[in-house]
Amino acid sequence: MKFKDYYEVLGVSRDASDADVKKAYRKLAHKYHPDVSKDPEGEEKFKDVAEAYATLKDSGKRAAYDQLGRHRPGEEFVPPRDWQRHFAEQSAGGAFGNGGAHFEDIDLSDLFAAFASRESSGGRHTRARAASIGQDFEVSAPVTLEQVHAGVEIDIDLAVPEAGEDGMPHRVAKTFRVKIPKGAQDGQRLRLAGKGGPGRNGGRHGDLYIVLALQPHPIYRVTGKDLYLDLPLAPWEAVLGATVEVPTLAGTVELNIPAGTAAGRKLRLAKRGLPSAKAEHGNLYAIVRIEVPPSPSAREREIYGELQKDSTFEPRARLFSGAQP
Amino acid sequence: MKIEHTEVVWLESRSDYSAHDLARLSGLPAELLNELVDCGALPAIAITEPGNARFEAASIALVCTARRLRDDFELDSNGLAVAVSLLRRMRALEAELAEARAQGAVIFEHHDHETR
Repeated sequence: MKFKDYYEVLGVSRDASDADVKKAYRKLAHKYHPDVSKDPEGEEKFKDVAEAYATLKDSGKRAAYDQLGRHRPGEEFVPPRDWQRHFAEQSAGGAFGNGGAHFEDIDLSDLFAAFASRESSGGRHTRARAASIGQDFEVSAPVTLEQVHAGVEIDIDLAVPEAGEDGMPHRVAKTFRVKIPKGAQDGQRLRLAGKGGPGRNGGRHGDLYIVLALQPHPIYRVTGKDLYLDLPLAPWEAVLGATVEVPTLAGTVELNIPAGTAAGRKLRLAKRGLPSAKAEHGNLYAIVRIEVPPSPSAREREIYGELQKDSTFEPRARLFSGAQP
Repeated sequence: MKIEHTEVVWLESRSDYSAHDLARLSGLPAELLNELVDCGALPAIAITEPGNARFEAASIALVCTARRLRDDFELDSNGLAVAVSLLRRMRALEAELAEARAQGAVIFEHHDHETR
């Protein structure tokens, strides 16, 4: 079992009062909680903070944790022998069998969760322990726009605690293959019933929740079922009109640019957005951007110079028309 | 590695949910959800009878977040009501911002030059 220094995680001394532990937790929770923090690594950091607090806020669990002594974070260690005996006695004639509990591949947080569950269900002196539902898990599944557009199956790898033959919560690597239907949306949740943590004393398994996280796309921006992209045009294409190729998720299409198209104009490509569950498609909108040659040739400068001389176009006329008497 | 093919339930596939549904999905008690409705923090699409509100699918994510905030910050029902109200405002603003960005709103750096 790998050691975790919960005091170090919370940044408190080993003799910190309960109030100090709580204060340190709250400070770190405000900093890293995934629903509050903008830190991209906040969620992982908060998991550590919450795990540390869950143990240190409970006097019984804190005392048990303190029994482990001091080790370096990540250092392999063996829990005291009486812990193994304690678990073996609790499950006498039951899940632990004759060999006692094995702690080698157990996560410290799972162990303390098991402690809590045993305590809450009556401990060793209660014959009929109350059934408790297993823990629910929630994971984020990154998906690309192309995957959502086409509908795919994705594999989600997780290490979930399962009660082993010794009754202890061992982490087991699992891969769930999940079908993502066409038109699934960012933030949409799906529930895999019974795929969460194991229940105890006959309680049902928890559920696994998967939250789709649509990854940013280099070309398209998404709002609902509609997609937006920037369509760069050369000045002469905007003035004279043109037929240009536009990439869509279903392939390249040709788009007619009307003569006199101004920057910022929104051109709609009907039903080229994302599909929905009801087989309705959103639209793709191309937002016109007028690009200029970054380093015009001598000839281009000459042509633009002639245009400047001959044109009567005054793009800023309206700015001053209202100010004139 | 063993791969499990799994039947899944899309939570946002239905148009409306009862307080009991939301309680089951979020872990918040139905009584607390009804309290949040009564004080105006959580919008209901319909209240067929007192304590029997119906919610839109978007409420699922909201109440799941509310449950995490309640548990992780040890909020009481008043604190939770404030948090849920602010969450709704924040999400509405984020949605507006995302839509404006998607539609191409660009903020340019601006430098003044005196012309006279």
